Amino acid sequence: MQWTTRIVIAASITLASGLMPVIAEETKVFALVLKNHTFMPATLTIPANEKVKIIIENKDDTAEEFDSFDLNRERVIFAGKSATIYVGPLPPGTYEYFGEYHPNSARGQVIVSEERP
Amino acid sequence: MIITSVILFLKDLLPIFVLFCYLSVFFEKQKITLAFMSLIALGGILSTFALFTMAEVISDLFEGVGLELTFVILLFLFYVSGVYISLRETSPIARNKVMLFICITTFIAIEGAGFLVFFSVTEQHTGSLQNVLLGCIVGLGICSSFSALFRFLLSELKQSRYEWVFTLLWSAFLAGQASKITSLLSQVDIISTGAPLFDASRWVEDSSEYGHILNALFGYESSPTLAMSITYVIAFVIPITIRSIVKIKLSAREVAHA
Repeated sequence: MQWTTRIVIAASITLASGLMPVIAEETKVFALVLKNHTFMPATLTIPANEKVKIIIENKDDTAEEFDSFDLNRERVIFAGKSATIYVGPLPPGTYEYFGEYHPNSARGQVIVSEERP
Repeated sequence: MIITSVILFLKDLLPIFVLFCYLSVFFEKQKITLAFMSLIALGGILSTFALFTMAEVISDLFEGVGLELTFVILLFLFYVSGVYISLRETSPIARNKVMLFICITTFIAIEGAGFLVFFSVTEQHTGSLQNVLLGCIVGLGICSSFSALFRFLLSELKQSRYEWVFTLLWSAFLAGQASKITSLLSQVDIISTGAPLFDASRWVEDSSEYGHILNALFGYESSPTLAMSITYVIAFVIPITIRSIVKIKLSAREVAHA
């Protein structure tokens, strides 16, 4: 094995070690439903500084991509299927999300609040 | 639908154009055969279609995290092959064929598959396919114009005494892609990334045109988390450090031969 190859392998292991998994805490679950290219509920209130689980169910006959620049999340949800994403912990505020393939109708916001939802 | 197509084109396919700019500058003094270029093009197309057609099945694997894990593996392969290529740019291209093939095909698959899903969705809406094609033409025009200018800039930097800027830009491009791994893993709760470190959206929003371009060039995120930032820094430093070691070793070898 050449020494350049050895260095690349060592570097890859270093990078991977920075991504070691951590034990997940118990999380609150929220649900979003996509129907007629519209998210319901359009406004979802979640607790601040806490990681939460959001289950998105796509009831349309086409795929949609849940996208949020604010939440830094992106996930394709195929027709008639569900997908789970985790968000947070986040500081209080309003975080926009949208369906990338139907951005005019499929829009909503996640409100992160200090008060219990 | 035209605007959506243009935005998606920029978001998904501009990074591919940027990658080709870098690779063409890396190997601009070497002759690449038509057969190899055809093989890479075929590999890129096949890998994209394979990921696109299997995406629905993959997404159900491993309790619904199959898609994220697949992207993580592909991004990791892309990063490793990208670092390897940048170390061996002076050696004949024949010796880099496998890594070059992995680098291009994985990256095209990652970026292209999402765009194909969008294409398949719009195909089901009668009348919108024409608008999507029009949007793609506009997106292609923007990406081609940007690439021509960016490639010229990279080529000039590479040949000038500011070659180190080229190395920094390439490392930032690789780091930007590698740092996406943390977002994907935290999205499915495999790692915890923590709260965002800062919010730069008041200067450049992720959703703006500048945000898309900066994301394609350096993996810009307006509110990165600690884990993402650490990954970015590590992924940024690795190629620069290895390149420096290689240069020192090579110069030491030349001195020894002399």
